Amino acid sequence: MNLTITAALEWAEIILRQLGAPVGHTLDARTAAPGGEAGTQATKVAFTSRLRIGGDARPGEPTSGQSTGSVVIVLAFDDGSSTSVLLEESMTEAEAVALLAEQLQESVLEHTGGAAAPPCPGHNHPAAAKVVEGVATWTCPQDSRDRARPILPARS
Amino acid sequence: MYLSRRSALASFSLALTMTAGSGAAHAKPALNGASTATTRPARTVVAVPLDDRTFTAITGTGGSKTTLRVTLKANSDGSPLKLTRAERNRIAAILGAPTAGHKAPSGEESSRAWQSETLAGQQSGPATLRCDKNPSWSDSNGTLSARFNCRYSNINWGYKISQRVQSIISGRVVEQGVSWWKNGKRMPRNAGHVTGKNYHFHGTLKPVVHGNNVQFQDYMTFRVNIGGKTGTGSLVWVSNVKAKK
Repeated sequence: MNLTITAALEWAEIILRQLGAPVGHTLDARTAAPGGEAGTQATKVAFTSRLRIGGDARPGEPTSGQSTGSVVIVLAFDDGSSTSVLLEESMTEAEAVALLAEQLQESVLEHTGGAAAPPCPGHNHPAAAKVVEGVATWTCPQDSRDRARPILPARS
Repeated sequence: MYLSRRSALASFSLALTMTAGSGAAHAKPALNGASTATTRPARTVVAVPLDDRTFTAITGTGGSKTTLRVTLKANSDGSPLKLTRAERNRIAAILGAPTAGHKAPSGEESSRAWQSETLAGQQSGPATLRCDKNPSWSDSNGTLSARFNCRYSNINWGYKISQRVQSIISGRVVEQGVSWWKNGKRMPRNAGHVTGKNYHFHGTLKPVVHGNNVQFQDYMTFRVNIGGKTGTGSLVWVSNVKAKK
């Protein structure tokens, strides 16, 4: 997969809107060592991009449209805690999006006190991220057929 | 029963190497499979003082192995930190790292000592994780729990840093996120966290089905304050399980 920081941040932004992430959170992205080998030090980054959600984005900050290998997305909350998700170059786009959605969902879930987001229509539990027929999809953990919907909007 | 070094080498299923000073941890998946699970009480395997201000304690249980490493800062004027034997012993006692009488080994000696002790402490094979059982393994550094949820084809894991280690942590904990291997194949890493020291770290490994051999590990770093002496610490835990219905 030709993963870029810009694309990964866009995915994260879309997902967080679906999750209703708490006010004050920030998103960061940075490259990781090839393959995201265990032991990669978070401070040893070649490139950092920052995007603040909520109308405070600064377009002048560096972003990269070029493939950068593995990317780490960092979701930080105003209490100082944060969650980082490693998207590895070896993943397909669908796998990366589903993993990102799943991990961000869990993080947001903890910070919102368990709000079921994104909703699973007709149920009290949240939808679950999964790759279905090659597409990253929000599915119902009880019945994945009826309520499945793509995590990312269809490209025009 | 503990393995001899030779048999431990023969069944060595998870090699963890640490680079002295860097704190980086790498694990490699199994090269050959061993199937016998053992259950043993936690015990400290080795404590090797790399220098006058670094303390390492490695602890093994039937289902996990943890390595706690603390490196104290040099003096504020830049001069090397010199600890008295009493101070070293006191700090080592807090960390569960008996160091009295140890002479700091050179890098190669340290590596050799570490490796041999690691092998000596290595269990003979993966611990068995039965469906819906919820075993936990505690040692002086923390408690690892794991459950094979066979209905959902996953393993839920949790890790809590022990009160003793929490007592020396002076700031937030940076968790890298669990790296894991299924039948020797590396799988996508779990999310990492920056959070409080009393956080119950947790995650899910999936998909995992009956018969899978799962090796997983996490790496945490933090600042420490031990009796007014500050520095950095790291905690690595590794586990090797076989999922069975």
